[in-house]
Amino acid sequence: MSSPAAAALAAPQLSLSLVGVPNCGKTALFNRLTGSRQKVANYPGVTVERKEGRLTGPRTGRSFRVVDLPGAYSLEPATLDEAIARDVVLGRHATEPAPDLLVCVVDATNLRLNLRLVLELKRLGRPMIVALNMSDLAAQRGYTLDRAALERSLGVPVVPTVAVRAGGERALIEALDSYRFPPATLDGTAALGVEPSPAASAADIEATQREVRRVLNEAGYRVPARLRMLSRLDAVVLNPVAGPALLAVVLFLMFQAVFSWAKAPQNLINTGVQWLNAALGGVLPQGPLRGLLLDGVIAGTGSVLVFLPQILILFLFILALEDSGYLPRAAFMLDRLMGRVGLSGRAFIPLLSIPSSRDRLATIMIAPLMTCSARLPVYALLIGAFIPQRAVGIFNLRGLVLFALYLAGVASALLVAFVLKRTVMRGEYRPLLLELPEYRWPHLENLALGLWERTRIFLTRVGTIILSLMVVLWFLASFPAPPAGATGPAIQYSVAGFLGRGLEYLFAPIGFNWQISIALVPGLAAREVAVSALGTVYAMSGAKDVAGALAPVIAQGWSIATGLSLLAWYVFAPQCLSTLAVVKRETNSWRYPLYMAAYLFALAYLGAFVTYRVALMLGGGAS
Amino acid sequence: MDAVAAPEGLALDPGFVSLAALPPGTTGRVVSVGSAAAALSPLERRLLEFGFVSGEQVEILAEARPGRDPFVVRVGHTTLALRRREAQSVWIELHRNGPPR
Repeated sequence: MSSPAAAALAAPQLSLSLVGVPNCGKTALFNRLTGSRQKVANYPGVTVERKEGRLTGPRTGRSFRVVDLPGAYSLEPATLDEAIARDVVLGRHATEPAPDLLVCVVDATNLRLNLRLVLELKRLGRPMIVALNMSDLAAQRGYTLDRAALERSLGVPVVPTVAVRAGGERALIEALDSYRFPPATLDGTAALGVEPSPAASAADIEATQREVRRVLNEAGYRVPARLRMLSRLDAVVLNPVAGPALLAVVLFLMFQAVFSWAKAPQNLINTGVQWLNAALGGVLPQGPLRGLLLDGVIAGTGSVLVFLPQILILFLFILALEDSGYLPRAAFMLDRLMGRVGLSGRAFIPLLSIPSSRDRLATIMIAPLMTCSARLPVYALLIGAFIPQRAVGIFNLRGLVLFALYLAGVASALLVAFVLKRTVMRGEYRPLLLELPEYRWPHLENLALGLWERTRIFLTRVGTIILSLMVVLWFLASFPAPPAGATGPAIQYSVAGFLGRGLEYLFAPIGFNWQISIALVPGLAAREVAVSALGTVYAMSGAKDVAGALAPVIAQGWSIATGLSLLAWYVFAPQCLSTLAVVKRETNSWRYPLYMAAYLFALAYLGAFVTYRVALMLGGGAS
Repeated sequence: MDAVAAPEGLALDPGFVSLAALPPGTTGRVVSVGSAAAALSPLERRLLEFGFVSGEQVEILAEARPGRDPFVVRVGHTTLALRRREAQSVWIELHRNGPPR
């Protein structure tokens, strides 16, 4: 947006990048600035999340396109996240325009670490504002700082923000609204300043660090001794015995809650979907349109929609753990385990959360076992569909299965990593260098916004990929029409029916019936689609009331062995084509994605086969 | 960086020790990162950026079991988890009242 033509418009849209070190509260501030008007996607070809929103200055009407860059400690990147942040800031990114204005978000409770980045950015010579975030927490915990002196010393505007409180962004918006751009920046003739050099010596870096001290001294920055309460908390959380025990309890409770809290809202959604089905069924005349809407659209999407509450409960936990500063500590505890097989403890985080800070190694072969668009929600959904709701002692069977699956996923990923380390990727070493941020209370409003974002992503998926695949599936399952005098359900004579029966030969040894076999095919696009597809297939095979309530149909029709076998299949199966596409891009060849698909399919078949046979032997064959 | 910062030189000085060798509870002061002879590795660079600059206070807070690895270090105002291997090239001058090592 820095062309002269754009600048000539009455209200040119300015691009604004939020930069900052991880855990500085940058995303919370982004949420504050842009509200719920956000677009969340990935940067092309990589699994780093890109968030964009809009902001309009209340006074001048100046309009900003705000991009929340991935967290970066330095412009000399050590991770993919940092490389993207650097490229955007330097105006070198392939798809992202150079920012007109940088807002560097700094954590007022650790300015030594944060100001180093500010100085690096300042040398670039781009227009910049520093957002002094968590200024309330700093004051409350006894930090002192003269903001005006800091501003003078840095030579850029410094505004206080409190990203977690309503109105805490006001000063920043005011500063953005009234920011005076040097004329050269808007007509694209501004000269760039000094870019960071990878050849910088220790003396150069120490000089920058001395500069940080000098600036902070001038601004009278004083840091109190660390709060005794926080040290005590860390003494427990990081304790070699109590720490891992606490982690196990946290994960276990989380998986239990996913199933025990979701019941009521799920019933509500079920009722709604059934009501819609009945209402439409009463109005629509018999014919293909009725079939398409009831069996294809409502049964298909309804059967996946009921899992929304579970997914939200899961993310509530994940976001709260993330906000509180606990996740990196968990990574610390798991590092030993993961390090044995050549992974860094960091790799545990994408396993639990949205993959934002990912290691390249994990990206390559193990990632599909760990992350494919957040693995746990999909497990939750499949378990809800395939495992009956039963109590085992005081625990919930589904919660137990989820815990077991999670462990199985970790174990299998570790196993694969171990094998790869001994074969393909010998000699690769991943350093662990992880900041453990200070504990904070998770903020409700921020959690709510995060959940809303997940809801939107989920609903968009349901409304686009899942819906369109269900329509296609409905056609495949309806045509050709059964011959006159046919007795079985129409689907048996259709393209999908023939396909399913063909695949059944392949899948019968692992306990899959023809309905499952059909559902696996569209399920390649995304795991949750398989659940929708089952909804449609069962609805068209004449099962009653499938809409929104696939679980009882399955509970009646399948043996436990089949359900477990399908779950085992999904622990391994390469059910996400986009992951394969990422691997192709990262390795720049088709060889690795094809290897990967092959080894994952083989593992999936083997895993499901063993699970099915063992379950049969243990008496899980009855339906 | 002067000649004293070279690890060979440090090994002779009983007052300086690698960060990788320190148990929880130890406090000290950073002397240098890496060796003056070789160029900075990306890891050493990142350690400097995280605040392992000469004169900075460090304290070992915790270590994982088994193997005492990784461990948690507070450097300046930042708390970091890292492996002993990553900490090898950080040279520390122990505080007198710290536990002898």
